[in-house]
Amino acid sequence: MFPSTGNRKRTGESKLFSKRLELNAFDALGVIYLTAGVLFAVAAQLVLKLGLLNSGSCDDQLMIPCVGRKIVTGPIMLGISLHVIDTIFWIFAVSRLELSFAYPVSSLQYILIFAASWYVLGEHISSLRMLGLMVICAGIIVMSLDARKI
Amino acid sequence: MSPIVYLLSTVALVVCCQFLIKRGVSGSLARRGRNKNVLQRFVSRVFERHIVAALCLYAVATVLWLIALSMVDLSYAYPFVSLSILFTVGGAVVWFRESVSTARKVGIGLICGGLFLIALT
Repeated sequence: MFPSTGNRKRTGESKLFSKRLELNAFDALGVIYLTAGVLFAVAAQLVLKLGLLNSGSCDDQLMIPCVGRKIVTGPIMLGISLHVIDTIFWIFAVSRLELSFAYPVSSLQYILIFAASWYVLGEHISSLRMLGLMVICAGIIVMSLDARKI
Repeated sequence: MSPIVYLLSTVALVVCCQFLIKRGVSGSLARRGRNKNVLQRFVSRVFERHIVAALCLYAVATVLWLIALSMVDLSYAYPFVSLSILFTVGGAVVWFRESVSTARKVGIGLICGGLFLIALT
């Protein structure tokens, strides 16, 4: 769910990671971890949304107990597990890759989730929403221009 | 309540988690782990009190996220995750005295602009 903010703090603890300071943007294993992380993140959100859609509406009930009951169902637990796996992959990926490379690639998540929302869930993506997505991705790429200094 | 309240509370909690985790992994832990094996170091790091608090907040955030997601489209909700970048960087400047470059300020401005466009839909 929130894959790309948690672990980038790690560059601050360079002492703990001193053995891995020579990072390479195109470390093959790192790229595999990163790709897996992105795919698991997209899958997690899709499964969560599908699980919520298929378990009925909460309209006429109190929101928190209603969603609480849904959490213990299979699809939601699966979605949460996928999200945990995605976070672990992201931690492995950023321990091998430069953040200035990992960051922009992780913004692919936003694009893939939009594509999946449209293709799998049949959500309507208005041109304004599309424009908003492109501006956010541009922002993440601009931020990554000096990601080494985080 | 409006779904945007749930989305913003999720973001706020996740940002608090980031600060707690940063607090938890900074400082004495690196030294404390010197004479332990990998597993012991992992366990002492995960059960540090700030980290435990962060994980609990994260669980609450997940429930709020699911509530929001049950009310709105995924393509509307997910971009709000990017708002956590803004608050995490803001908090890092205020509480951890980290410096922020121009590129990062421009990037954050773009993220907020894009999010504003999505929130309009």
